[in-house]
Amino acid sequence: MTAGAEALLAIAAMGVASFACRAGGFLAMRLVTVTSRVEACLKAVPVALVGAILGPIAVHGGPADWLGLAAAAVAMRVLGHDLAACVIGISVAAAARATGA
Amino acid sequence: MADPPPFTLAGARRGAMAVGPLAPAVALYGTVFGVLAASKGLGAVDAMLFSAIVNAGGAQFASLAVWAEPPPLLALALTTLAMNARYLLMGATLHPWMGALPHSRSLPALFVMGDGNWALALREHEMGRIDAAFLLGSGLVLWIVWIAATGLGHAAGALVDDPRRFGLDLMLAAFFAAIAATFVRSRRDLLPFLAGAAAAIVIDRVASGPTPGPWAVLGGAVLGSLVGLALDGRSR
Repeated sequence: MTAGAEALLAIAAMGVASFACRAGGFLAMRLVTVTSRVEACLKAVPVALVGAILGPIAVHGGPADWLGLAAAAVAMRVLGHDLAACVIGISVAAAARATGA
Repeated sequence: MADPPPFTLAGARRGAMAVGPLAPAVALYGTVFGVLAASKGLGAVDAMLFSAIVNAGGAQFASLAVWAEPPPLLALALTTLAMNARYLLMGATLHPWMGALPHSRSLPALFVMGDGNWALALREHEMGRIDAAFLLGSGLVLWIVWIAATGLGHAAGALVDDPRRFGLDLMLAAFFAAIAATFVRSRRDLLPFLAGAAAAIVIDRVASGPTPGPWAVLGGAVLGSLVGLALDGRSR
């Protein structure tokens, strides 16, 4: 199977858009003076972003998903190991789904 | 500008070794992407180039929904921009750490930056390990897994018949729940976290476009970090 010229062009356009986002924010920081306020804002970005990723997922999911996510968070706190936390989280969700939760 | 951070092979190797929890999810999503790309009529070469060049799960899934023959260039590029706008913020958070690196090092690392290894790298930095090659090492491994899984999924469309049964569809979310558990330690962290989640949920509900997800994540991140800024202003 070969890649068509139009498909390649589309993929290249998406690649440019994608990389512009990755490098754009990073390079723009060169022009922004990093005051303590900017830094406080940037420090809150990861926390807020993780919240923003999880929020809609939690709302779209059911009780089994909530149990799984809570289990992953608790397991992370207790075990301090993220792979273990993931496996526990999805196992709890799978078990809860199997029991019809 | 400050001295550049260390950027060593050992740091890259550390990053490569740290992606264990992420690799299964990346492999799963890559496989699903391959299956869906095949169903949209993309060839194996197209699908793998897609993953290699765009290298962003959410954007690729959203773009597939927009994909047609002939491919609508502008719509595809805008969809990718919208889905990846969060990378603007994520890249910015890395600047205080990696801004003094030469572009020949920082730009390749940014090319392979994803949600997962970005979070891992920030945690690494928070723990005082500042070797900037961590991001590149972790990203390269996930990039290769992503491309290979795309090829695998394209070749074997029936490989993942029911990911829900094993909870695999929740893998990425479970990973972020674990990340949140390490990020959110005080009330100071909790407020931006909750503000981000609440804003994203509201935007996700209100936005009726074909891809509300990216705007929800971006809007949530912006509003949540503004809450962080407000808290900082109040504390001084």
